[in-house]
Amino acid sequence: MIKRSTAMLLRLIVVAILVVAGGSVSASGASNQVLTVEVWSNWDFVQTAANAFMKTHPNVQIKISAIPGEQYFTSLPRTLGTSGGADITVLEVTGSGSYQALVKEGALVDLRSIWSSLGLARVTPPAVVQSYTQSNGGRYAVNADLTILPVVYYNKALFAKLGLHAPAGHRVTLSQFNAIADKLKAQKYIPMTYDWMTGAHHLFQQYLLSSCGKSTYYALAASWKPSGPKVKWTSACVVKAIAAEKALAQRGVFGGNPLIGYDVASADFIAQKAGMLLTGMWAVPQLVQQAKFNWDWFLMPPPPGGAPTQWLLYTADGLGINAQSKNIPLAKEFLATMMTKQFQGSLLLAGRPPSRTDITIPHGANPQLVQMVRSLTTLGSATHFIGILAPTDFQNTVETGSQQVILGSLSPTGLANQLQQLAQKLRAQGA
Amino acid sequence: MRRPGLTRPARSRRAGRGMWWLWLMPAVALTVLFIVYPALGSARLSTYEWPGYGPETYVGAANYSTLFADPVFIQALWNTVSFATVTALGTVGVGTAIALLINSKMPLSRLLKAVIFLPVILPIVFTGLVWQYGLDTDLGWINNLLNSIHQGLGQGWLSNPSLVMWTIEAVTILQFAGLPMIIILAALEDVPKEIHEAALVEGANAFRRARDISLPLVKDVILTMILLQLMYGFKVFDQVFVMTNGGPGNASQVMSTYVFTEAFTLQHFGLGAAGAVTASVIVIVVSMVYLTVFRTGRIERA
Repeated sequence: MIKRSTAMLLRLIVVAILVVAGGSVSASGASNQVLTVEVWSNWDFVQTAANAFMKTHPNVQIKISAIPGEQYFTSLPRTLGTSGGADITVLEVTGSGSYQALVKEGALVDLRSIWSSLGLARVTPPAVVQSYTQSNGGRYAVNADLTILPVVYYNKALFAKLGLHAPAGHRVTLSQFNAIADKLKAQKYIPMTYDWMTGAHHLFQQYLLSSCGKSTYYALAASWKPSGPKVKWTSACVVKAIAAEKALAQRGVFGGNPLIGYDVASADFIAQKAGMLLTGMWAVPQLVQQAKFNWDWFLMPPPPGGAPTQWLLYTADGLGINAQSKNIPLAKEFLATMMTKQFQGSLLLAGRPPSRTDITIPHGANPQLVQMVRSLTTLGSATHFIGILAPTDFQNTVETGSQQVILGSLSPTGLANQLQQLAQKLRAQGA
Repeated sequence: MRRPGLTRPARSRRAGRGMWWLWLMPAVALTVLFIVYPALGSARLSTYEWPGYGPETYVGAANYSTLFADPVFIQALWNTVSFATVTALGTVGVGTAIALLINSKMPLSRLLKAVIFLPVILPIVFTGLVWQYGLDTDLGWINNLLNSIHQGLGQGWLSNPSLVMWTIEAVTILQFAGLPMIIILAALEDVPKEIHEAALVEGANAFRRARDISLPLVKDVILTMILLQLMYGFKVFDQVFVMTNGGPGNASQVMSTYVFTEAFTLQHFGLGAAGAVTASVIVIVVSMVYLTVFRTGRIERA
């Protein structure tokens, strides 16, 4: 005979089993799939895409988590290629560094099928296609959006008030630019603010391209590779580009104390203490929200003797799939929805240039941003941002070196020498 | 005859001796997990070259050679020593002065205590951003105020390499002087009132009483606070990262930001680990020297 307490216990166990089994039956009946996505914290458009995808796929749950910048380098390379990593992740698609290592290790899924099914190679800027195509033809990420830079925003109202002529066709000559800067300075405005603290490499690269030409620019970008071209950073065109930046600073274009960060630079412009702001297209949403004046944009004038300045493309905003993911087909399906013409067009509403060139401009897109995107072919050859072709050591050296050049503690030749020594050091290490 | 209650039975004493390690286990486990293991891991990584992915390459002491041959690291080391020294002396000095003032029962002393202590509890990132705007050459209220007194008084507080470290140190002292103030004030309140009364009878004024009575009696507390602030100063990161990111042109680079840049921006994890190990050794050495010079026993009693 079973004791009463034992019988009670047995009854409880049976009930518990029934509850759990009933729950799991209902769950398995629904077959919920969970897709995990890790992206930069300001990539709100991924949540937008996820919401739309979950509406059409009620059995799918997409969980998005933000990855802080430094964690990208520390944890991502170790978790990708393992079952512990997210299904989909942001990737900095660069010519060196962790992305190439991940491709080599087989940690990423080849996404050629998405590229070919959507015909992306035909409707994406050539620089993007080149960045995303490996030597074996594989493409291990899709390009979520583009970042284009650098650009000068100017205060139209202030220009009109001071009798300054707004540039036509988004281009200005050096003498026109200097005249504008001199007038602003005379009226006690900061002519132009610029993020020298973390963005010093933007203008440097634009001037490098203008001064040296595309072929030398790309040769310099590859000069760190053991088998790379032996072009020198101490070439005259490089020194000229750096000297041109210094000349602008000495003329007072950046104000009395130029070495400020992006927050202060943009705040000075929005507060109408500065007539111009040199930064990238990412400032558009902020200006739309905060600037209480009409503004427009143009490209920097070239350095003396240089070719007209061009847009630079930061093409590294990639999305890829973990090779160890248990949801590869679903992940591919989700990524494909973010690369459709319709979704890419909607990025303009979020203040982001789309990766595709064949989009229909949505109603409500910022007109200046639309002009910038349309001008990619007319105002430049859409050249790569050198920072994604070379190791970050170059960017770091340019940033601190440029600040020292502006301060006068380093000459343009000195910075060129530093870059040459860095290229030689990386070349030797690579060997 | 054995007095009851003074000795425990032998069996209980033997059992008590055997149990001591059990009580230590949690603390030892936590120390090993969160301090010893990471420290040893960093020391090991400092002898390798590793970009954060792929295999590690053993390089021995090469990272240390690179470190000490790098003028940026030397600048960072100098800036860190300067920051730690100036802020330790500054926060404790200012904190002590305010504590003495408050202890003298001046009017509104309670309000002053709260106002001075409040910044201590604010996040450094928040105050760093506030100061970044306040110290802006063109928009900042500090230069606006200075220039309204006399045109040209405003400076590039964060953009002038000669001024940037002094500025960061001043901001730190202003924010953290409240901490030593509170602790030294508590010590001052323990000083017997009779001593002050006797000194008053002797004709000693407030300054003399502070110098000859209060300060000597709280000297150990002050020395302890200086040590703690020194150790904090050697670990400085937030203020520099938020306000200047080590600029302009590495002028405000400190060891922590140098290590951060090498490891997380440039992906030289081995070199970053070498920097971290070097910084840790320096802190340990400075602490040991300090404790020896100022006689360990007295500080322990404080």
